[in-house]
Amino acid sequence: MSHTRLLSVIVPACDAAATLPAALAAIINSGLPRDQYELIVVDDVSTDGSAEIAARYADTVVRLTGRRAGPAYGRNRGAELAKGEILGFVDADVRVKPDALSGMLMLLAGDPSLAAVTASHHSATLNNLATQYWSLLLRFGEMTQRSSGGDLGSPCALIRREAFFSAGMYDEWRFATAPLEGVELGNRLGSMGRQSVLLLDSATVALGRKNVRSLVRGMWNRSSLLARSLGYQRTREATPSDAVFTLSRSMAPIFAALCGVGFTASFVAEPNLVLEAAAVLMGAIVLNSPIYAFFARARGVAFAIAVIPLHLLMQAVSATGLCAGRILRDAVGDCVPDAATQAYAEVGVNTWPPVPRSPAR
Amino acid sequence: MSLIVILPENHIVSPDSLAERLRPSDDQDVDVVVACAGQPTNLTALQRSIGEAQFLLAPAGTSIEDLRELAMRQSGGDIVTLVNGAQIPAASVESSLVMTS
Repeated sequence: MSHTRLLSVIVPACDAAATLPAALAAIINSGLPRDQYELIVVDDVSTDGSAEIAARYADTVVRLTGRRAGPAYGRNRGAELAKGEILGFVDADVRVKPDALSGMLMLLAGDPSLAAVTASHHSATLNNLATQYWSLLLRFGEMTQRSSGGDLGSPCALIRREAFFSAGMYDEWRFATAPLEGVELGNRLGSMGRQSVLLLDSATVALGRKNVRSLVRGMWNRSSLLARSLGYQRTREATPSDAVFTLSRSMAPIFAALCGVGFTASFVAEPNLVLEAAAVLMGAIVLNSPIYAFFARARGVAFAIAVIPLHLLMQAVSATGLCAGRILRDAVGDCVPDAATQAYAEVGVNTWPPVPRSPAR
Repeated sequence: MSLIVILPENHIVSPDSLAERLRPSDDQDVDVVVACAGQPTNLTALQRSIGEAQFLLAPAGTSIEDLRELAMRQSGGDIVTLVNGAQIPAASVESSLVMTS
């Protein structure tokens, strides 16, 4: 019953019925011999039948009960059951390309010093404008900035078992929601001197559709959590490819331009607000020109022009989120679970599923 | 914990290997669901070796995926392991058909 396999693919799922069949089918059809890997799906209290859908494909389905605990917690529970020497973490809303897993495995096999390999985001999704914009934004960061540490925030990551457990697994205590638990684990691996790489040609395709609202909410969570729990400067040094830094890189000059125009206007008796707003807007577009040029090359000039308002909105949301996270960090402190969870963890009650574990304990 | 054994048509699982899987490792109860498409050839032997198992007899021709989903709905475990039975060699199927005809 406990024979070892080369790879354990762990997929955390929460109300993922819409995308899970395609995500799991892509793993099954990835060309790896079926006896070389096991597929574990951890269902985080779904109400849409995700566990039953997972059973159509998986070797093991873990049904979590109680309150939803987030993907970091789910991945850790899956890893505890996994028998593979290499642990693969794949999101439930992405399709891995057929050769991605085998290519990543080959890279790990060829370099024993490598602790982890991650797959990049693919830009060729056939979804709506918001989804395409998000994929391209992530892709731009991956192509222009190389992380010195390991960016395990990718939707598909392979980690050596011993590296994963020696790093202390995902931080399920602080990261009850996506999406920075992978970035944090990558930074921890990097600080231990363990190397990880991003494979640009081993890509994943997003299956879920995004809209402006979900993008804004996601970017707010990402930016505020990054500033509150990880620290802006430290994370920027370790993982400069993250979308938050892609957005914030040109924010400081834009803010400076805004201040400059405002300062100049204060000396004018009757300032022309329309002209000044247009000047700031033009400055923002010029400062963002590298990413707009990337959008134009990938999807055409019309697409690049169409996403300008969305990109500026995302920059504003990200900057506000970073400020809010910093203020929360100083005023309230780092993220911690609710009082009941802390109390259970303090007492050390032995339950299944277990109470989220603090890395400090 | 639950163990789901999937037996599509012309598939079989050895009662001994099943008993091996059910050998208690850390005093945990394992509930077993055997989902079959049609009548499995060794149903009596399976019932004898795992008496407390739940047997789901789906119509012949039910796909492996549908059997897995049906069995998952019936299982109550937090950790559910799913295993497929092994295909009976074609020669064995032919000889059993000759014997029954």
